[in-house]
Amino acid sequence: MTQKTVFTYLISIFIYIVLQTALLNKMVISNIAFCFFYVGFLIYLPFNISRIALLILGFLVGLVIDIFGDTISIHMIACTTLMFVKPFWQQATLGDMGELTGFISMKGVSIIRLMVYTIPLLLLHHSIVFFLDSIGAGFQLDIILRVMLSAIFTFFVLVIIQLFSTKTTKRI
Amino acid sequence: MRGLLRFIYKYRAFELFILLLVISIWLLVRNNRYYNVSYLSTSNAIVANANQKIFNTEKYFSLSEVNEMLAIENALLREQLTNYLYSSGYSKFGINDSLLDRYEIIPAMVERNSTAKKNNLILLDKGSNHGIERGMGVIGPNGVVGQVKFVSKNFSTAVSLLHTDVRVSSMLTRDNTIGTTQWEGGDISLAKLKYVPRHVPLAEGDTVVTSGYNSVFPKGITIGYVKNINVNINESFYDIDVELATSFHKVSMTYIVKDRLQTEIDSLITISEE
Repeated sequence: MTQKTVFTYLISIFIYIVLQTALLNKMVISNIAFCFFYVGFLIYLPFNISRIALLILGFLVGLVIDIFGDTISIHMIACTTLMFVKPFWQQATLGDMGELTGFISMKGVSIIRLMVYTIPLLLLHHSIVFFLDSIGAGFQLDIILRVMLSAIFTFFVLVIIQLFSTKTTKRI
Repeated sequence: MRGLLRFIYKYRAFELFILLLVISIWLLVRNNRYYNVSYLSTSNAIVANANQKIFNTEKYFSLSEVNEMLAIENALLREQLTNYLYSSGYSKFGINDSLLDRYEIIPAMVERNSTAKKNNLILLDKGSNHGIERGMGVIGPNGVVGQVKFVSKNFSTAVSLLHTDVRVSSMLTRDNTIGTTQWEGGDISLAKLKYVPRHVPLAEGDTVVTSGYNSVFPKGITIGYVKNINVNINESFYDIDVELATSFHKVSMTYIVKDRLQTEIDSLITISEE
């Protein structure tokens, strides 16, 4: 990893977190669909990052989100788990894409495969978040609804961002 | 050994994952009251019991802090109460002005105390830095304690009620008869109530409170309770023993009463006496 790429990561993580805490934490559709769009940063991290680095990144991003959202540990647990699962899931759905560098995006992956890759990870993350959030309130069926709708909502936001930020649409 | 190290190295990502997870769950349990409770209930009884014991022990270390907090809160409540008692007398006239916020209460701890002498003094841990001035009244949780005599920066000395020169303008709650309470030495729980005329009906157990006629104490602070009533045929006043409400040998927490209008009253009295 060159210094330049590290710098880009830092910039993008900063933008993701600021957008999430300042704007998207307040964007809730009828108290059911939440948008945890910062997860996109973690999910689309490049292939060639070591698993240790992934875990630490996930932990730190979750920590920052928790501190700003006043939901101590919930996002930390969700993000760390997500980062633990990511390499396996990536191997299973996207296969070996060693020639690609940089963030996973529609530049290199078709939207269907991106969806297959992204949605389950979002579901995992959101289930953990909503489950931990609702401990003590008793298990309610609307958690499942929340998880589903939030995952779809987040995915839409991520796709929109991708459409804006990636210029070429060459797909494989 | 090498095999073990290789094993640890091989699964380093998983181990880090577990470590991070443990850290976050620890934070979760530690920072969230709700999770803390459910964590306790899911733990077995021994763990819960041990936690309870630890918590109970920890409580003692914060006692002084808690005490101080309670003292401040008490002072606030007392201030409200004195101002309320004071103002309730005026309320029937519909007066609403600075008189209603006349007294300020400052909590102070007793640093040194004596009861054995003829003229006893109390050292308090508040001084001119805290707004204490000479002549302010000192009251305790149960009743009157004394009056501030000397003030330094951080400390002040109060003459306790157990001082033969101290006279407190008193009043019997039964019919608002005015008298003067004075300690004459001897038993530290007994003082004399003087100048109560013989025609006044009296009974043992009557409450003696401050009259509020001088600006040292607010009206209605308990001084003590009538214990013995002696009648001397040659005198026109009763000889009354008052059991003091404050136990002077164990007084530890006091409140200093600041009368915000004292200078005004004093200057008025000086003018009228000239």
